[in-house]
Amino acid sequence: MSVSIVARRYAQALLELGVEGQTLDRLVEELSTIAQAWETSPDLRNALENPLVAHAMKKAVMTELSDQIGATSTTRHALLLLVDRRRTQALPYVAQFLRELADARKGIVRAEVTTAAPLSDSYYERLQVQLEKMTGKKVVLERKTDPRLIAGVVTRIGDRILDGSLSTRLQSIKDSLMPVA
Amino acid sequence: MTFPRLAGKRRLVLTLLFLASLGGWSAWAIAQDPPPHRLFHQAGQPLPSTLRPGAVPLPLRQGVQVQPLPPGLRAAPPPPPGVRPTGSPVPSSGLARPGRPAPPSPPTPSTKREARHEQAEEAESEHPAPMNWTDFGSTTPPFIAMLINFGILAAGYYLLGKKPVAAALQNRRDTIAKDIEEAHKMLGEAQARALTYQAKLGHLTEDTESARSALTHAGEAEHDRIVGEAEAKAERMRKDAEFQVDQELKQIRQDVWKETVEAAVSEAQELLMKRVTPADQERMAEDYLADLASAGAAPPAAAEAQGAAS
Repeated sequence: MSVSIVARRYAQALLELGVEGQTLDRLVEELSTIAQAWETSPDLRNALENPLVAHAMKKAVMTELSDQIGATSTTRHALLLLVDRRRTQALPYVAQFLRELADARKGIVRAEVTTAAPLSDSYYERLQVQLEKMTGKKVVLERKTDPRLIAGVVTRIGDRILDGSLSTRLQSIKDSLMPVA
Repeated sequence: MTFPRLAGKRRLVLTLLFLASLGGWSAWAIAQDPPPHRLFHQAGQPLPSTLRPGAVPLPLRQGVQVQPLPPGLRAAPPPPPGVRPTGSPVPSSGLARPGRPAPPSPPTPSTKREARHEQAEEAESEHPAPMNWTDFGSTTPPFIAMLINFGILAAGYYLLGKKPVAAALQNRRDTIAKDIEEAHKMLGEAQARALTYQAKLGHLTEDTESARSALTHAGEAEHDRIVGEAEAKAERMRKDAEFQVDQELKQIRQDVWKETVEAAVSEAQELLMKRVTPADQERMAEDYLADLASAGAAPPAAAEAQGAAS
């Protein structure tokens, strides 16, 4: 079974638990923190995915990690369940799907805004307003910087990408000049 | 040649005739002379008259003229028949047994025969024996019996062997006739073949000319065909080469154009990255915002891209 499908089921279960316990926001934040640590730490991934490491040791590592971030019992049990089921590689997907499900429940749309250079806060506020007009939902911006864009802005909302970067325009010019094979 | 084979009945009759003749002659021979083993005598007994000195050996008696010895060398004449020298045993008649002296007895047939032998020998020593025509008791068989015997044998051969021999000869004749006929036939065929070959030899020049002409025509046609095929192939190869050259040129042109575009875009990108200022950044951001506002709910067409954001 695909990891994303499994992760979506775990995220749905966690969403229901968070809604029941009214700890959805904290649950999302804790899982996002653990997922970020998972993605940034190769040692952590090796310790939790290596079959030579004993199962009890993996559970001890996950318990220690939960203790360090002060995770709730729901988050702790969810992490240990992933370890028991040998689904730790689905942890980043679970965090992402849980955030999306939580945002959808609250009517929030997350927009990832990437610029070549940092822009002023006023610009981001005007961009947020413009995006809320376009989507009809509350938009939360996530700011990113990528010099490869050269100049301009690229916004990703869900599956849609609004690309106004100079690198994309150069690529379009290049494609139009290229002979058809 | 195949030897004629007699039928079973004829063979039997002929064998019986042969056996009868053989038996008759054997009976006569036994009646004339004692068996060979009776010729042997005990030591001390007198030799048979045929082996006595002065007697002519049996082989010499048949057709050989015996010459008398000179008087000085001639032995004493044998005593007359019936007179026995004193002190000498009675001559064996062939019936005497070893170790038993022969008793004096009256003249027996054997003694008679012996006497006749001696007389005949004496007569032979002087004159050739007369022809014995009918006397079965003589030393030689009667000539009439031999003639009758020969006649019977010849008649038997003729009567019994006439048909098989005639059939064998007829068969042989047929075989030879058949062989001769086949030889004639083969000779005719050979002559016919010879005539055919001679006729062919007569037309050899014409045939050679016609074959040469046909081969020349065929060669010319083959030459034309090969030349035509070669020209067609050369034309195809020329077209293929032209097409290949065109394709190569097109590909090279595209490659050169592609490299030129890539180099130009790369150069432009580097140039833009070097020369873009924060003011340019803000201006492009404002243009982006203006495009979003002008598009309303729809994003800028040129800048929108649908993608899978997993």
